[in-house]
Amino acid sequence: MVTSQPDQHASRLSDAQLIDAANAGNVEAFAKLYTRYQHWVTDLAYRFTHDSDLALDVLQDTFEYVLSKFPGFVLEANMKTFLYPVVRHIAISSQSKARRLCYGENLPPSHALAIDPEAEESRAQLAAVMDSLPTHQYEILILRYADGLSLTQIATAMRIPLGTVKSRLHTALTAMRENELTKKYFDL
Amino acid sequence: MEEMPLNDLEPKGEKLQQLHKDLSAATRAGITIPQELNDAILKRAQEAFDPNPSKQLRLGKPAAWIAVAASLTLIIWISDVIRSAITTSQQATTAAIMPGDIDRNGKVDILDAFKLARVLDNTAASSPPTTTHINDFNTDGTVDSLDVNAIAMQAVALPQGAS
Repeated sequence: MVTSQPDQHASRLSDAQLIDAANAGNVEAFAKLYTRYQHWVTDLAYRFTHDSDLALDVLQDTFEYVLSKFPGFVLEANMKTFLYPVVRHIAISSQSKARRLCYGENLPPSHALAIDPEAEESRAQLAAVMDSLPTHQYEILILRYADGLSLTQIATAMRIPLGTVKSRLHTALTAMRENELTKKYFDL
Repeated sequence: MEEMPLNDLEPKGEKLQQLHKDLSAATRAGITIPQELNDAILKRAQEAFDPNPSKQLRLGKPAAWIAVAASLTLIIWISDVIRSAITTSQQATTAAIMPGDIDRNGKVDILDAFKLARVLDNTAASSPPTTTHINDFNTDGTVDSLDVNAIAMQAVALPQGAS
């Protein structure tokens, strides 16, 4: 029986090594990949759908898609870069009939935020500023500073030119630096 | 005022770490993934990775003979197709192919325009297809959408003298 518990050896393997193992038929390697990315995928799906149930549906469909890539899956960039457009597409498809895409309109409910009141207030302020940004800037800021993707990886994930990523990030950072609530994140 | 370079705009050091921490927390949905869902996904993976699918595909003797016969038929058919393709290819190289006849069926029609458009769609702009007298329909030295348009225009044009 496969479980989603992390395995010591597998935990040290890179995504590419896990994919190689899964390509060779190792289901534990796939399980490890799932464990590694299930929360990231769910959080991302939630940002697109703003619906917990839909986010879980997207999680299932995303890994069903990933599963279909084996054997022969070639990871050309990093895993988040690969997963991002898949999650986005599935999330949009899953809710397009009922509701419009609401990426970034609202950040997650307060239970996800810090319990420390000071930290909570700081994050609420950050969330307020983020919410005021256009969706395409918001998206890039999260990929860059929450998910830690490089500019090139963001361009690949979002399927937009690198120059567009740079200009949108530039505009978003300028807005954040000029905002009283978020300028504390910068050396001014 | 001169625009600040992107690198200078980005947060650095501890402030970058703080932004990462706060942003990660602020965007965490905190959704509990039900164990049933985990189990369903991993069960599905187990089925897909099953190293012994032959249980479902184990063939009885009659089925095995049918499979052998089908394989032989397939081999004979493929060799016929290859032979036919070689013959067609030889004929095609000897015959003059008219400009715009992308599918090389002896006539220039809208399907040729469509086919060239598909080729261009699937080809990076930086490495367009090799220019030949067939695909460079407007003879401007490059193969691009203008050739598609020109072929399409010719395809839908009425023959001269038609009313």
